Amino acid sequence: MKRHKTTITYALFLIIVLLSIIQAVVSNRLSTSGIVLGKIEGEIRFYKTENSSLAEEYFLVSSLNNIASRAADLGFAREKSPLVLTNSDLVLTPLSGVAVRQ
Amino acid sequence: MSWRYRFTFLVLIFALGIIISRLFYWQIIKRDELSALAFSQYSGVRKLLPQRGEIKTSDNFPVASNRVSYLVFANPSVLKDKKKITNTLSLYLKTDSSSISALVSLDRFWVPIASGIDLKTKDDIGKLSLSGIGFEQQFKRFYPEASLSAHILGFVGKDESGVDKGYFGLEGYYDRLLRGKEDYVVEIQDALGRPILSKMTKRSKRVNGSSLKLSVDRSIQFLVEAKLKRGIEKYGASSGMVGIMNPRTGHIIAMAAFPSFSPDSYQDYNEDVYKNPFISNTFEPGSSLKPLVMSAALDASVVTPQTRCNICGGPVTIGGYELHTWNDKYFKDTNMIDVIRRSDNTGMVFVAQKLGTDRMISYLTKFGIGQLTDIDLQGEAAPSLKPKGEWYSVDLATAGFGQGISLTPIELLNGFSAIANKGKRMQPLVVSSVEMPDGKIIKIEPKILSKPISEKTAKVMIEILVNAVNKGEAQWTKLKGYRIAGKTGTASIPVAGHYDPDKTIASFIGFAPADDPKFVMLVILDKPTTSIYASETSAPIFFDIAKDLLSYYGIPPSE
Repeated sequence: MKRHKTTITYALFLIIVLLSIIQAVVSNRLSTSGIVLGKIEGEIRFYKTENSSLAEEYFLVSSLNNIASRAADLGFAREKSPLVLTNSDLVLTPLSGVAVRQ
Repeated sequence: MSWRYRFTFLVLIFALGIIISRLFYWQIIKRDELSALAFSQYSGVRKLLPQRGEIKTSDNFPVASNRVSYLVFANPSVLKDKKKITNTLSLYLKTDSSSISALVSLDRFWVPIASGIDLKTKDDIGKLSLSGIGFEQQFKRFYPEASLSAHILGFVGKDESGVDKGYFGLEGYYDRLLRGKEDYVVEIQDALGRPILSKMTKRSKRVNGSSLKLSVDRSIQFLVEAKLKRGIEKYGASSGMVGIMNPRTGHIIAMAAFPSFSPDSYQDYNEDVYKNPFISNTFEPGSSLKPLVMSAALDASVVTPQTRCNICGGPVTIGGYELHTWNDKYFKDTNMIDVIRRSDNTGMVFVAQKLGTDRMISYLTKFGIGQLTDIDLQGEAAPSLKPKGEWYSVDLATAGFGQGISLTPIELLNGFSAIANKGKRMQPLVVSSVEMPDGKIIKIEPKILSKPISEKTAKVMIEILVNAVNKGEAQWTKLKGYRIAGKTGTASIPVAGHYDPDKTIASFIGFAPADDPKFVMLVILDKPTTSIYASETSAPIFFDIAKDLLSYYGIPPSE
């Protein structure tokens, strides 16, 4: 009877220890995952903001308003009478496929 | 078994029963209540703001996008040195310190101090580590092309509850589609309020706004705005507008009006400039309506191009009114081709009388006059045509040359485009497709609104209009080598029961190339001062723009 009681006591003690260890491990993992997640979310937010700022800069640089003013600053001028090639000006020779001006 | 052993066993069974019944009570009966209580303790709710959809021109360039901005808020209950914080924030936010002081004096846990703060200012304030001051990320409308196509876009303001809302143009018309849906994230948090990675985290789907892809060509819009602005200055007009449409599909290629505004700082402008005059303002079109009336008469077979006008030898008197030509020159027995070429008012009175009131109303209605075109922009207006019973003989006569009848520029452009499109009138469209948040693209298909005239009539009318450009009043400014169909319109402005003799609305409407039109364009100048005539003001602007458009589309001269 006494031996039986001792076995039960040991078994209960082992279960308590085991459960305590599991709880410690799980709690530890859960508490640190919050920090990791917070860090990851912070990084995502940072990159999203960075992407948005870069896109904004890109759109401003490639806007026609900016291009027109830069072109004017660089001295580009409009061609008043553009050169027009009409269909009758060019003939394709069937064999060589080279365009010949008539 | 001794009685003590049995007694202990029964006591244990009883205790176990009590525990089981208590667990049953908590886990089954009170389950929902306790779950909710626990959930409120370990979870946090975070608001997710949807990003407003972008508005892109035909080259996929966003003319209305979003930029990250921040809301600065304070928790007055934890602010220590309120005066110092107020002065610091006032310095960085460039706002009055008294208004900030009033806000931080409130007995609340959260008060918004300023919104729309840029990233740099946010970082600068953040570096000061002011306790009780925080930031909330927001999105603010951003216009890379500044005020380009402002009247098409409209602007984003706030509604009564301070939520972003689109007004005018596309922002107003497609507001519900663009704004998306605000949503919330429920997170499982630890004791310090940090989110925990857990399968229990409930994350509902945030729905961003849909993006719009326009038929508007950014390069053409830019070009048109520059040329219109220059034209208004050159001809001393009080305002002006241009609309360009693809007659085959109804897609709007460009639409500009001045004076305009910047959607980014709309508050700095007078409210009068917010509405798009091309779809909202009405005017008496004058001679630019003549092609529609002449087409109607040709289609109804009441006249042919060779029909002679037997009332064109002098002024026409109808209902006590004497109707003149614009230059008081009269041509007896002139034909219909020359009536349009010379923009002969008496000739158009002849045509209107031949057509009669019933057919005039019927054809104008089929051309869309007196009705909304249903263009996808907020703010379209359309004055109705007078009921049949209110048309007097003089009304019929003046309607023939575009006076005494009011319409919007978009109505005129839309009706006229039917001549360029084999007699078919298309619904004007600014948006060509909608891009849903999940990437799905919904194309908006062109729609035929009506077929006012036959293809044969349209062809005849095109030749009459090409002749008007080549040999009419505006021939000095026409483009050499191209067949362009068009018509000037110098309309008198009604003022207190009569027409102002010194002020006009000068317009030019036309399309090119005449045989396979790529665009139909209407140019309107309000009260030009260098000349009151369209042939000397709006026509040169039309041809100046047309020249660049033909070059842009790579269309060589045909003659």
